[in-house]
Amino acid sequence: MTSDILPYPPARTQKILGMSRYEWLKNRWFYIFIAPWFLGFLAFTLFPVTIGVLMSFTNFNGSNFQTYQFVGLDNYREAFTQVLSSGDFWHAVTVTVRYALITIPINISLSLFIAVLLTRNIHGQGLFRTLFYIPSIIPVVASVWIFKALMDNNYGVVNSVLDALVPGTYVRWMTEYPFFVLVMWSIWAGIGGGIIIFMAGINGVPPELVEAARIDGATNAQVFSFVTTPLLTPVIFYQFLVGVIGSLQVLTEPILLAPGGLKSIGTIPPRETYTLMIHIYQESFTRLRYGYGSALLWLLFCFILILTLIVIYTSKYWVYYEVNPQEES
Amino acid sequence: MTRTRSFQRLIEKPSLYGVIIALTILFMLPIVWLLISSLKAESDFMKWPIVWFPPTPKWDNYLRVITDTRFDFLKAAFNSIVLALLFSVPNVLFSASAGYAFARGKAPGRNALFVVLMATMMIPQTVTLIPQFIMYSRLGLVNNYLLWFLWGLAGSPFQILLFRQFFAAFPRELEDAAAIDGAGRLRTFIQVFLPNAKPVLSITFLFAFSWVWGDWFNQSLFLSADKVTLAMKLASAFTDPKGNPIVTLTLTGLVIYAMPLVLVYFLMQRQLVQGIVTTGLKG
Amino acid sequence: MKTSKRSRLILLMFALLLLLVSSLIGPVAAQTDVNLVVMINEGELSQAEIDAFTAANPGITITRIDSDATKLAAMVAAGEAPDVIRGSGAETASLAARGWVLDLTSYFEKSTVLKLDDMVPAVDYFRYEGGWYGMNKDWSPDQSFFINKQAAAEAGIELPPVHTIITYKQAAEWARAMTQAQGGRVARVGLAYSDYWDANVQTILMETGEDLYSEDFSSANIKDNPTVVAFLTFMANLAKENATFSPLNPSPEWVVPDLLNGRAASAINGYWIQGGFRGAEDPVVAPENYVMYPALSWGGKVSVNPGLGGAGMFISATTKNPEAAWKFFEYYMGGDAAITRAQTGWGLPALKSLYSQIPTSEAWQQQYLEDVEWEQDNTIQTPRRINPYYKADVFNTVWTANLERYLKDEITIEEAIANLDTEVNKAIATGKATAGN
Repeated sequence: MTSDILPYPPARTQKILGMSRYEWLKNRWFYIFIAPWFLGFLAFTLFPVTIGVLMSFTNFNGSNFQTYQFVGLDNYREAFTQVLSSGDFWHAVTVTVRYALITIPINISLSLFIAVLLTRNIHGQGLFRTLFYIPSIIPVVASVWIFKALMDNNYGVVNSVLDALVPGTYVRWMTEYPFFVLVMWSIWAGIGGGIIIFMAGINGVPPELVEAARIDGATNAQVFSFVTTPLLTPVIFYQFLVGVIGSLQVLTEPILLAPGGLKSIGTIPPRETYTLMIHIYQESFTRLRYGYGSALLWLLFCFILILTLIVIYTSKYWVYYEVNPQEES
Repeated sequence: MTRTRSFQRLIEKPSLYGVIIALTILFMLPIVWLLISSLKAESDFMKWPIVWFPPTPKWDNYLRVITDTRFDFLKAAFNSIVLALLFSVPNVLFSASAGYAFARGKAPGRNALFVVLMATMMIPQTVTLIPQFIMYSRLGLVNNYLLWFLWGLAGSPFQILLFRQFFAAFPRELEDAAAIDGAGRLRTFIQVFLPNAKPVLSITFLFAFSWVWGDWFNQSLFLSADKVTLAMKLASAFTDPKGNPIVTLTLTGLVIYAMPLVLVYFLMQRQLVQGIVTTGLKG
Repeated sequence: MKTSKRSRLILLMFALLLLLVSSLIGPVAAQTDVNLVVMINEGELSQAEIDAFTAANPGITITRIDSDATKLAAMVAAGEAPDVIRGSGAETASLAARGWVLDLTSYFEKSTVLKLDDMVPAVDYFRYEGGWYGMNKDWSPDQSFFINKQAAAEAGIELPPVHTIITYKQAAEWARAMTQAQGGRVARVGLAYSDYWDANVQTILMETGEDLYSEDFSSANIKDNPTVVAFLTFMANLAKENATFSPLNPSPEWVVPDLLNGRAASAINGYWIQGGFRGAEDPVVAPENYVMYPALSWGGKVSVNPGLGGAGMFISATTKNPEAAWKFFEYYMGGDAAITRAQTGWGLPALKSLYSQIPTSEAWQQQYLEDVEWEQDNTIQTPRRINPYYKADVFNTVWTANLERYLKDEITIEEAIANLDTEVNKAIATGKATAGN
């Protein structure tokens, strides 16, 4: 099937990267095409990651270059003690998991819902899509300022509206319900990307298929369930993956939304939005326990890795590719 | 059966518009509030009970933010643009090449490399913050825009994955036709895949550009005050000479900061509207 | 044809980009000047001051970067510490113990600008094991008491004459009377305080000669010290009554705008807020409405006002240009920059010789200065003992988190205090373990 013009039969049996010369010539384009990414991976990820892993077995505090010691599994042991005793680390884990479980389903279903509405052959499709996407392209610094202006305890719009409806109502959104504010913010700011990608997916469904289904007497809902959705599964898969990964790492948003958060990156948000990354950040940079902080990061990383591998390896059962890469080669 | 019918009813046009417009208004309100607040006097903004509309819109808020010599908005804006372009152009090109390779390559080790790609996507950047900082310092890349260019060359896993998903759904017939014409991989990529990838190219460019434009964490960590960008500048409030924050003027600055992205997005509408997956199929 | 034109275009763009990059990094190579990296915020070192310094010192250039603990930690770990570092006097012990900052004693001894006998006692915060590691750019005894005369009169409070030592209990009673709350909305809190809880606790302990930390700094006594427990409980309950700012009802800004906008009726803070009061543009509550008293007393017998430590500067232990860094240090601490600073009244100058520059043109400025001078003679201002094994941020952040849980009725005050005790002692223990060898 491949189009490359190759010397055949192979001239020599000399091996390159464990491949025969024939195989190498046939495949070298692949390595050249991914080379920039791979070199970047070695330099910007693998090398620092290796140092980070090593750091997690030490008591490195940022300046004891000469005197740091290897402490074996002590840092990891402390993390498990925290889990058993429901310490701050465990609290941060529960906050993060709760955040992921609430935001991802809402984000995917709401953006899919809006995408379906917008692709119903209506006027101004492009305009509506643009409007929904605006929150996503507004930089985080700006959207946090906006949310502070909306939800502020004292001069915020939401409290003003509530007060006008039910005089005397006063809710401390930013300090007593910060989790709610964070969820609202991430839905508002995160939905546009999903809508665009879902709309592209829906518009990409071959009209012949839809027409064929229509001729067979399918309703809109049936077209959606049996024609559009199967074709959209790669897109949903992508969205789900990105969602899990993103929400487990949430760090800057709770800090910026916290009172005083725009002034200092070291600000600690209220307990409800005290996420895992913030805990790690605090352990590392406030308490200067880079060793312990690194250990917590590896635990987080392993957790994300397991989740993602599960998603990737189960995807072949429910993801539809037009050209399924799993079946190739 | 009833569920199907109620769903269908929702899809009927008048109520359809109703739902869409209601949702749009809900999502637009925060932005409208930003625009209104950007024209207020600080004392009106902080007032309780709320002052919904400024008695006289203070248009000179905009002039003041841009021309304030202490705040130096324009220099920061220029820095942000340079930084965003330095990253996004190579990022899109090399993400596309890697995405194409992963979608069509069958070389030994491809699956392993793909797992590596997915894994790198998940490594929180802060994991490697200290080692990265040490490395960049030693290489003279701290407070240097070159760092963003190098990051761009490496592509980014999200973008690569997006290209890979897109190219994987590409019809085989197109490249077979190119192969019959005797095209090699590079030519196939540049002449068949890239031109048919306009929608995803626009999306990835927009993602890359707005990532840098909006990224506050890396810029405040790796850049100094002499290379200040808008994200860094606007994170802390606009202040009067006494150091007292003026929130309304900060919001005014944020309107100007967010506008270029909205504009870029509008300019790219055409490519996006063509639809993503169908482009190659029609031929 | 069309497509190959496009690929040529891509190549062209790429070449242009490379050109742009090389032009950006080009100029770096041609530098022969000494470049000092100074980590300090923009409001504290203006471009005009930088220009004045570089004009007077050809061959030295200044790169200013914003002060940020994370960035500093990263830069030090990278071996690229800024040459001059802004920091609090309270950080001296931990910075010096970790070997981050230079012992400046010999520089001070030789200097004709910064003489050790010209220093105010607060500069002692910058000493560690006998050496002088830095100096305040300004300072205040930070726990004086400010109260809004008009708000007090409206609440039927008769204020005592100036220089009276007021107790915490008295101030709390006034705070309750002056708080304006409706439902959950607090339009004005009675009392605003700075949430440097380690300093607050140490200050009241110093009234009876006690301290938070053991003699060798290896532990902190919190839950078993009745004074500490009583104080933290007292302040937590004041927060529960909405009479002070709290994690659930935080100050939207900081103390100066809070007082000027009438969001707080009284405040525990330092003389330095004079700099913010001065020249405020149409404040809701004018500065002359605030009268300044000595630091509040817990026991009622003595007033203690050691301050938080004052903001100042250090020179990095790894600087390649200590002489140039010291030149800048002298300019900033004793030159024109210092004189300008003294005139604005952002705190008191660290040099006695600059006291004549303190602003006194308004009656209220005069009263604040008189109070500060009275406090210097009549309150205990010995510096607090700073624990070198941990950053006191840990004390503040742990207490703030536990206070939040207490205010939400998730835990009791005893549990909150016990958690604080555990966490602080754990932080001290790990700090000691890594620093001790």
